[in-house]
Amino acid sequence: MLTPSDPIDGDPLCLVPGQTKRSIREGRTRFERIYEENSHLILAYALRRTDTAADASDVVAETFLVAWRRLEDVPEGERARLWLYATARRVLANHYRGKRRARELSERVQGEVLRTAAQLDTTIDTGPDGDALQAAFSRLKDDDQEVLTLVGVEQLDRDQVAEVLGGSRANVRVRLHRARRRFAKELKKVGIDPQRST
Amino acid sequence: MTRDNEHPIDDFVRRAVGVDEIEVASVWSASVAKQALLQEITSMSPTTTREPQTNTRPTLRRGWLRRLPALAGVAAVIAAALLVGPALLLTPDAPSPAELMLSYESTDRSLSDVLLQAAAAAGSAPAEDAQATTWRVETWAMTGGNAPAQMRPEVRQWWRTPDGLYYRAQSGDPLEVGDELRDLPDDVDGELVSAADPYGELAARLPSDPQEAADFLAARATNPDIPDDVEVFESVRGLLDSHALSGEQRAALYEVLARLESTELVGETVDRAGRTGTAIGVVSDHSGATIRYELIIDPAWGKVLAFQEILLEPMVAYPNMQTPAVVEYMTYF
Repeated sequence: MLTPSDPIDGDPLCLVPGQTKRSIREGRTRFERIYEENSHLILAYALRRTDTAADASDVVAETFLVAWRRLEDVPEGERARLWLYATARRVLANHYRGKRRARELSERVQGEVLRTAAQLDTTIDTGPDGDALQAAFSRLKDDDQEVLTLVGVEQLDRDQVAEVLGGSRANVRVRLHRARRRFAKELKKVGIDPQRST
Repeated sequence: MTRDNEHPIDDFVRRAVGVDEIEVASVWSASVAKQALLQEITSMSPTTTREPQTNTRPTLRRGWLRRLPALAGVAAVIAAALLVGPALLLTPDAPSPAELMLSYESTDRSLSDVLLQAAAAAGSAPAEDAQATTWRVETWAMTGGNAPAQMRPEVRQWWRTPDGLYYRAQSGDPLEVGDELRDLPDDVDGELVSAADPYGELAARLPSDPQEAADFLAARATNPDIPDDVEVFESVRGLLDSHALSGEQRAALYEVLARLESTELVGETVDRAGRTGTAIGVVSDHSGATIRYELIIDPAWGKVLAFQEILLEPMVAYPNMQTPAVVEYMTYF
């Protein structure tokens, strides 16, 4: 077993006690797969849930940094995506409370992520009723917006939403029902009848 | 466009947020940022770091003190308190729990006199018609959730129908286990809930003989963490306040209360609807807090006027709360 200060074939990654070259490589491969499968989803989630491209890029970066450092906690398969949503959610909550982490990524990478997020931010097309829809949606409480987007946009079922939010399936059903009713009322206020328009 | 097997609202949600995942995936995949971020993260030491935590607090439901899980003790209450936070946040113009306390006057009457009078009055009333039973209850309880504990009044209208027990409320407070939301027309405010009916089976089979009723309810007091008398008292309360019973059954229930060793006479009082009644109760600390579970009855009419839970001693969860304090009340109309 190498000592913490020994590089691996020139790799600047430092070992921690108990790690082997093989376990690091396996971990990296697993992380890369998780990243490949989910990074665009987390970016999309972040763009929906934040007000600026800068915030969205921070959320994406920090979420995957946590995943890298807590790889042993990331479940296998489809549940990895739910774990990432739950983590992104917590990152976002900390972000809004002003508890932003010290930026550990280089300015270069932060800038690249920000540029891509900003590019996507400007291309959001909400259609002919876009302004009215956005206005109606923005009047909902955060909790309502969150459960509606997890179901309607991220396409999670109730069990998955419960896993992301940390509640029970029954609780999700109630929250979803109430959120849909409230959104329907807000839509009617802006002249959109969801019963007639679909 | 609405996809198969989804709710129509979902399409509006997608249009409102406007972020197209296919476009995101396409732009992100082609970006320099994607690979740059990956390389930078994986070049870092994967030492464990603290995952972001948020102070998500459990939602405390109406009657939370009464309905804490069977094994809850002081430790659980303290743990919940630490999550909820020590401060009370009152809604505008809401009275504090201490301010809500009723005042009591002593009476020359004995507990037995009061309850037997109520039994006699109840026994002479006609049986209630399950299809026609409607009553209104004003409830008020501490709730938690993601904000410090708040005091929030709520008025509910209850129906007992052949299909079950329903209530309609204005507010969207947490539902009890077993409750289900029902759809209402869009132009109707509030919510309709098909309520869990934990005493429904008891009501159907409750004997009308007082001793048999006492034995019947005692046999069903099986929670090892709640004193038997308290469980029976709670069953009587649940039966009296939301079930159509015969006069004999109601009379039997008042006599059951008279037979419990732990029932005490609190005193004469005026309820929050201005009605004079007599308060009786049992005290227990099984939930981790010392609570008096109290029924206010009108013995002359054999009628239950109100139910309330009185916190008798300060608790860790609410160190600033003056005691005694009302932590929940239901006024029946």
